[in-house]
Amino acid sequence: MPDQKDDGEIIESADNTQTRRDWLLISTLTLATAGTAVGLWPFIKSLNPSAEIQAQRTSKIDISAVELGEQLVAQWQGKPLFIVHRTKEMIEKAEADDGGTDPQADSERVERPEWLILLGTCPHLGCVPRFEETDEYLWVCPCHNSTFDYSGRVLRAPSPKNLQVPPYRFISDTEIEVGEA
Amino acid sequence: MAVLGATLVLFAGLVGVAAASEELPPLPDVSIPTDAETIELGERIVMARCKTCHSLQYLRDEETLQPLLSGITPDTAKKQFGVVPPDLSLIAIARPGGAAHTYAFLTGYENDLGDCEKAANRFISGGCTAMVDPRLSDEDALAITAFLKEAADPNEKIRVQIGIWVEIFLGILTVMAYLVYRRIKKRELG
Amino acid sequence: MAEKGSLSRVYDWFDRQLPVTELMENHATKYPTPKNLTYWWNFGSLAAIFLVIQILTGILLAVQYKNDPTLAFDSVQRIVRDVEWGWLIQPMHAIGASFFFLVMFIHLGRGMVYGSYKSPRALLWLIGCALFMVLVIAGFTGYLLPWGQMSYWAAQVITEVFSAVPVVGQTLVEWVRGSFVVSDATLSRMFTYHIVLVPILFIMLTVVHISALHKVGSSNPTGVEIDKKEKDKFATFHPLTTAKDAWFGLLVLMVFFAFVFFAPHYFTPVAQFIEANPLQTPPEIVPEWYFLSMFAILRSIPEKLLGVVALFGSVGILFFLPLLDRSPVKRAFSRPIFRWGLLLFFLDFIYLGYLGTKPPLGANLVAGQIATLYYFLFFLSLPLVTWLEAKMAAKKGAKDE
Repeated sequence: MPDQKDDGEIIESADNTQTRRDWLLISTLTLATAGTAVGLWPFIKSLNPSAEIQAQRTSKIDISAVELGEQLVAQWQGKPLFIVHRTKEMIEKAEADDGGTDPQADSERVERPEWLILLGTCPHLGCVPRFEETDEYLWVCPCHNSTFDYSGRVLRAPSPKNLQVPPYRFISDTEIEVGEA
Repeated sequence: MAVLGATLVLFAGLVGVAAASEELPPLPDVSIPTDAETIELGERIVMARCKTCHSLQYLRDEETLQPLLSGITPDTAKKQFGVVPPDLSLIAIARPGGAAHTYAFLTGYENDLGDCEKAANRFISGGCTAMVDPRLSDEDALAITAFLKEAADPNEKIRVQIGIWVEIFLGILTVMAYLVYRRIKKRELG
Repeated sequence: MAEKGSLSRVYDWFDRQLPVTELMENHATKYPTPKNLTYWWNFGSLAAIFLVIQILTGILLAVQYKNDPTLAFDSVQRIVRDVEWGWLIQPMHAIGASFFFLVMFIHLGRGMVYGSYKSPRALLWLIGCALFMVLVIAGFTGYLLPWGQMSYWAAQVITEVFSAVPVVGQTLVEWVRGSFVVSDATLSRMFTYHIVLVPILFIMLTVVHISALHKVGSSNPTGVEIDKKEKDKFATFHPLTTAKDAWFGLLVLMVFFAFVFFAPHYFTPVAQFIEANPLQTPPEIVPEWYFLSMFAILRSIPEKLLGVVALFGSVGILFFLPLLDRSPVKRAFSRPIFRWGLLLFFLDFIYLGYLGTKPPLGANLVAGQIATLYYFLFFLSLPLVTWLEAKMAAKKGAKDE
């Protein structure tokens, strides 16, 4: 049966080219896909904050002008930052207890007791609490009336958490650096 | 393909003509050093001397990250010299001839003032400049040029490095894609 | 019914509600392409590649760019220096524009040599001309954005062109600029046109262009339409043409990236590295290379209004090509007069580009005028050329008998 044999041969040789081409095609497509993926990486990376904004990751703030018992509202990474120069009485009030619903010792919240440094956004919905010195609390949030004590700890709900303490360090007695590079 | 190649060559030539510059004496044939040491020397000289009057506003102070502005304000400069001294961050690519022009200008002062009020320089159109001769040694002029070239195009090194790898990758991929095409062509066109 | 894999079930779900298979078959796996296409037929897909590059890099640049005269030049420097990989993205867009024009010129030239503007592809040609006009607008509006000296003064000169229009000229100039001179208002609108209007038109017209192409089918180098029934003269678009487009596209990308990485400032005149100064014109104003020929046409005519008419006419006349050239012969090489006329036209176009770099004085002015005259004469003489060629063919036919 010569016909059958011929057919068989043709199919076989066609199969051979097929396998060789497949190997080449698959490796080419793989390389092209990998190249496209790597090629898109710079495009994605370009959307990161630019070097100019990266430089604002940390801020140096001069605190020498803050009077005793007063608050300075500075900016760090575009967010409000509360810097309170606490009086002896304020420190005493802060150290008297561990706050309310989110208990934490005052010593864990300050580097130096006379300087309280806090992120000025209410943990509830991000409003900026108002500095208002009363017997009971030091800040009240204008949005939903959450109150915070002399260590920035939450006293009255709805805020679930204390005012956050940002990472900072004292460069000197009059200057701090906020943020971690 | 030959016609295509010729089209591309013609195109490159046309653009080359477009880049032809105005009439000045031929620029000195100088190779600008690229080693870190020379560039640093140039930076020191620029910061100590040039920056008194010239700003380098697209560069930043390493400490404060503020743009590098000149020692005198543009207004004062204008009163004192009649013109605001140009910013230097891009100067090495902002003149015909590029960095070679920077070097030529720095070393191209004439002793004879001619009709000029303040200073005569061969490498500026009109021949007069408001910038007095800085009296630089060739070595210092070259160092300044090296620094300004780096300042104008700070990504050159990394760009060329990455570029070589991109070209190698594309070269391999192009050859492989061509082989794929040749096989398909054989099959489809016989 | 046999059990189906989950992947094919997902495919079916889409296919039932979207013409997925239909689109793929109509435009790729079953779309017939003439087997005899040369590499001159690659430039349409190349244009599409550069459109994608321009859109991708353009979006990322628009994110970082500031369209305010006090900040624009600065923001481009910030992109190149401070944005991660900005030094790659910015030159890709700038060099991409040059390559886009180059590819478009060759694509248009191919169409002229092989009569791709003739029936049944007249509409296809017209849409292509519209795409070219959008590219011209893209080039012009985009060039202003870096706010360099050349950006500013090129825009000033070109917008001033409209003042040649009788009666409403000055009003028109102010309408285009949104101000008395090129200014903040001009930058804002050019930016908006560049990033909103241009991409919308470009994408829409490209879809229409490809739809029209796939309706009438590709032209081919013989200039003779192939009967759709002659199946052996066609191959499916995929894989033959896709593989050809892919490898040739990669080859061109190699050249493109060589410019991007090793000579990113190759097409940028030095004055572009100086911030725009409305009070000081740079010593010479030379437009981007792709506008040089049009620039030469504008300058060669000493009468202002006529110069402006010629400038717009030089692009506009492309739209009339199907009307002017009624010869049934498509392939330029098969036409005794047209072949030389067209060759001379291409050389004339390149020569005009060369003249665009020279001041229009003395011999250059005369040369520019002759070259401009020929540019238009080529188009306007086409009815006569066609008539003469028909006569020659008739004579030859009679002699052969």
